[in-house]
Amino acid sequence: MKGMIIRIGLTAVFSGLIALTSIAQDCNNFHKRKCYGSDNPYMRYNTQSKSGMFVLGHTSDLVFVAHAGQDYNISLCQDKKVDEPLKFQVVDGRSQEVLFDNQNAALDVPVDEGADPENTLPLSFEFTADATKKIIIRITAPGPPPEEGSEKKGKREEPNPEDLFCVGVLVENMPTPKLGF
Amino acid sequence: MKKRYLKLLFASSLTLLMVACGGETEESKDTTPQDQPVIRDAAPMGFGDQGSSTYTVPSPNELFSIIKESKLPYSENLVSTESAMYTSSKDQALNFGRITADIAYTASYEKFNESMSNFENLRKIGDDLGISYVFDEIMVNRVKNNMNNADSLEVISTSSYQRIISMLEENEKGSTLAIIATGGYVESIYILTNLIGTYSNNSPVIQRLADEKIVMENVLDYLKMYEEEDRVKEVMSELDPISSVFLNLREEKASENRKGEGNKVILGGDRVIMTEAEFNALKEASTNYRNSFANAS
Repeated sequence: MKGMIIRIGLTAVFSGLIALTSIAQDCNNFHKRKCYGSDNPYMRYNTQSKSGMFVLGHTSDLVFVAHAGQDYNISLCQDKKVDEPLKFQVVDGRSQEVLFDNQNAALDVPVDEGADPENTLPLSFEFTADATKKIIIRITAPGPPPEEGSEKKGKREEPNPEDLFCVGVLVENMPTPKLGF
Repeated sequence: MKKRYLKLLFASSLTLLMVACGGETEESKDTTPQDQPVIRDAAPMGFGDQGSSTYTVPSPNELFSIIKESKLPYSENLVSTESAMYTSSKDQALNFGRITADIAYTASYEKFNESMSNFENLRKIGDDLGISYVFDEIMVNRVKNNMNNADSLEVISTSSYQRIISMLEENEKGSTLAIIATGGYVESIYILTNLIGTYSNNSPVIQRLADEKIVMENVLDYLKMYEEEDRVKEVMSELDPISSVFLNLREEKASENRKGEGNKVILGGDRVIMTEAEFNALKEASTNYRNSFANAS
């Protein structure tokens, strides 16, 4: 009986760890597989795009450089199994000024009758960089924030594999079109 | 007894799992103790493997595609196509980055032979660095079959770089990637300062170079994520003459955030100012550091 309990215990531990690890690896390049990006054919993939593994309530920053004279499109994507939309801010890396917040921007987006307004947050942002800037893309996964003390250097000690999912940030850019003659 | 056995079994299994999935193990065929990378925990959260923030560095291709528009003439003597052996994983990673920047440079000027020779050199250093898996057959054939096509050379160079970065990220070579990005960045600054040659006031290309201050900040933040590794600490210290020039550059307000035509968001910001003395200091510092690791074989 004891042996059986031990075997079940070990199997559970290993399954949990293996699930965690495979999810972490599956998230690599998630943005290339799942993010749609801009409709503009001149927009090109930017190597500063990145994906990561999130747990409900987790916030993570991606700090990238936008060059002067370029147009940028940032698109997010997430695992289908997470129903609620991501919260996404674009922040000036120097002044920490919030340049875009999809929760505020959602107010400008017409909502279909009967649709849950919480599920209509925009997941892309386009801008022209007039000066070279450090841009922070701040993503907060839906759900309650992780419990205090459960996180260590950005890593939860015992996350439930069921709560984990991938988030992708696709960055695209193109030279800013010159207007007029 | 059983409890102790279980604890041991659990600890060793966890260690095995961490080695297999969480971090960097064998980086080089010839590693010294200080080169030994640190093994990290598995399953990091968010975008980075070191916490809730991560930093990215634009590819050298991005810089050279912009520089191409400035019509600076190609300079043959700036980059070498000779193959060299590097013994430490730090030098291998720096030179791997250096050669990716060289390929971006030669490809942007449609130099087929130089690009091909350097692609071969990149593969050799990749083998030494233990990352030969980034050059799979499809990628190698694609490069070989398209190197004579001027239109696709630049595209191939960019997509090869993307693929290398993706493969390294997939294999969680975080600190190696940070050093590779540094090598590519230093080489780009070396090439650009030497292509410009002499400082001139109000030059758009000098402004473009000064803007690299923002990239420098991200390079330093990226390296800082792995500073517990000796080889990363060394790179940060060696980079100091270049970073101190950049970080001391003055900035002035250039434009405000505003809405443009069609409600388009335009993000303004500061303009970085570079004087002639600062340009010369940067040119000297980048040439010295670049030569120190390029000639380290």
